[in-house]
Amino acid sequence: MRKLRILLGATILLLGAGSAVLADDDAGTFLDGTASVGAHYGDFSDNPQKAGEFISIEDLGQTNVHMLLDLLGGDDASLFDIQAYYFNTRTKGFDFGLHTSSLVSANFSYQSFVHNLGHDTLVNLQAREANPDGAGGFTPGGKQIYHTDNDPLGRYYYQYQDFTGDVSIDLPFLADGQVYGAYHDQRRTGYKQTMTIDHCAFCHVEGNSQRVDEETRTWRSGLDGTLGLFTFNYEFKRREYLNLANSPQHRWKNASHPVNGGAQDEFSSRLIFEDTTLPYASAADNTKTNHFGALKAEVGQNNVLSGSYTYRKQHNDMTGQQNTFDSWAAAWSFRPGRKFRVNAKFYTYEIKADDYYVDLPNFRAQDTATGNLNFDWNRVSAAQRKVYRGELDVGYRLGKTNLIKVNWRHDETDRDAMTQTQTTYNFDDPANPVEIASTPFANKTTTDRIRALYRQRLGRQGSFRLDYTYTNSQKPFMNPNAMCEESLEGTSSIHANGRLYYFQRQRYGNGTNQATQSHRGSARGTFRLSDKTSLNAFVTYAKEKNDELNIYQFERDVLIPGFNIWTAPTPKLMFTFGYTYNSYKSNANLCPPIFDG
Amino acid sequence: MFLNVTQEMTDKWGWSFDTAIAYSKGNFDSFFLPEPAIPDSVTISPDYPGGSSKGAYDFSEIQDYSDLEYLQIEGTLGVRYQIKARSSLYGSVTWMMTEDVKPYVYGDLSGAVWYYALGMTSTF
Repeated sequence: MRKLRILLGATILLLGAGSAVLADDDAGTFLDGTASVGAHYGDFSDNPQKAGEFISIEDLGQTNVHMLLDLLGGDDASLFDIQAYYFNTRTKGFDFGLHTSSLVSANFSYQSFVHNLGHDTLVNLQAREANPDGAGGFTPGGKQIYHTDNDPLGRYYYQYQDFTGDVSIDLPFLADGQVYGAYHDQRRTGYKQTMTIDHCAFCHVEGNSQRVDEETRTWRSGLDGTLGLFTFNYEFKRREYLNLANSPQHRWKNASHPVNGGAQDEFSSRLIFEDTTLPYASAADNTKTNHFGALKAEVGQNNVLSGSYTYRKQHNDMTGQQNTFDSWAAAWSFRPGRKFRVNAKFYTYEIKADDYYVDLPNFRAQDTATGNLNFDWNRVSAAQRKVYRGELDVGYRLGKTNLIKVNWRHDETDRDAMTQTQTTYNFDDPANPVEIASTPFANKTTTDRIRALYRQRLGRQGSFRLDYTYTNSQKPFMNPNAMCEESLEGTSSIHANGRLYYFQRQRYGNGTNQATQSHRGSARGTFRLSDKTSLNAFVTYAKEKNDELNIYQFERDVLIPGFNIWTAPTPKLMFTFGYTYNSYKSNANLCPPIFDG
Repeated sequence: MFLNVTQEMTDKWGWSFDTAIAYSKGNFDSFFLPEPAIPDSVTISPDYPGGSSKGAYDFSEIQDYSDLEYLQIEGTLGVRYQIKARSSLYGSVTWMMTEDVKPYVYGDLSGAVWYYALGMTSTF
């Protein structure tokens, strides 16, 4: 009944709007628009979560009203436009724009929609080793993995709400001058599935429901203008991320042997915590402020010089950690003739991120009470880096319908995180174990990229372009010493003390999905096959590899061909058809740890 | 892959059909993992499996767990009838379908959703 009232109300509103239009026409203003109102019924079979990934599942099995309104109106001095839609309580939105006398512009927008998430059933996490019993059969062993879904009927989704509003005011006393302010609010609410793991790593995995309520607020304000030869702009931006939901809690149980259950010392001598309730999956509030300034100058008729500076600071309100971003950029654009164009750019930035000292209780390898091994380490952020980039771009027009462009880019990136090492101990003298660190990996990445582009127009018959890019990179970003363990250091076995059958050793395998050599080519064209048919076709192919890794060679092949065709056999019948094929083939190295202790 | 068809049949009647089809497939190759080489002199855990082989882990079927295969189709068939110069009625059926050929982590995600819609549009 309520929906019927809404439907009737909307229809009446529609008739009223039509009357208003006629009245406004008499006054010399104008108003054009389209309005739709209707109802829809949603039904489903089997599992609607994936088929309806972006629909409101709770509205299925019901009839809902939907509406759409599109208005454009104004007079000699002002213009406004409104678009609004309503599909259900979770799926709706509007856009509103207002421009008055070329002085003030304002735009406001709101969108709301649902994204349904998956629910991991965890059923694959169910296994236990089988030990030969000596008589041709098996007995259950100690190593096992099992799962518990604490929310088996849980439905997980995000509700997104996005609001933007911006207002700009032209400055009549300044050429191209304007001041502006903007606000952007993103809200994400709902529930997601989070996992917890208990002691002995992944033996017991639990699925839990976690409330999500996150808000990101962004303010921007700035000033643009031109003074003589100089064009300038400055912008200040502040962004806040707020986690409005409480962190979930999990009870970590007493660590005990999975089979005999009573030998707690076997594990508890080497645990940081057990038999306690702690928060997990916490997202930290953080604040980011950003200053950006740019200046551009036209020198003569053929030269343009430009430069910019950016400073950004981000603060983690939970840990107190912060990082800063400093960036300088400069560019020179030169046009010596009608056929030539040269652009040169230089760009550098530095990210300084606070280190985090991981302070662990001393590890007790020799007995249950005395900690004698120190595994504390200083975590260096992977974001921390210095980058220098130079780029040269040359364009030459071969004729009236074709041109060629060549681009070269050189990058140097210095990352301290790539020098972090692994630690282990030599136990030849059990009372005085010797700490051993692995060899640091090189921290500098050098990349050169060359790109060539050819573009041809075919008059009214269409156009096509061909481009090829070669990239050579030395020591691209990777996770050094990430996988595969060395043998124990020294000659003394630590296995015989009755408690410890495994000890952390140095890892030595480097892993990455970044290539050292990359060939990438693409062709794209638009062709008019007849007055009634046009074809757009494209293909991209890439062959990439990394032969600098120490335990395998990374390779990646990419092939993406496709086409779109449009045809209208008669003035009242139109077809559009498109097809895209995506193929990605790649490889990775696995070193599964075999749990034993 | 997508296909859109729009036809104005008469001055009053028109219809349209939109569909998008996506077929996705992904899998890992199988891999060989050798048993760990443990010298006889090393004392091993009493829980360690395999007796004399000192290793009984079987990874021969692990690649099957990575197989993913989805067929997704979305389509809308709509008709429109012009009742006055600036007003028309419309009706549509939207069908969204997923076929989960190799269900795994998230269970069987095969299913379908239908929407039946009726309404009126006015331009002014």
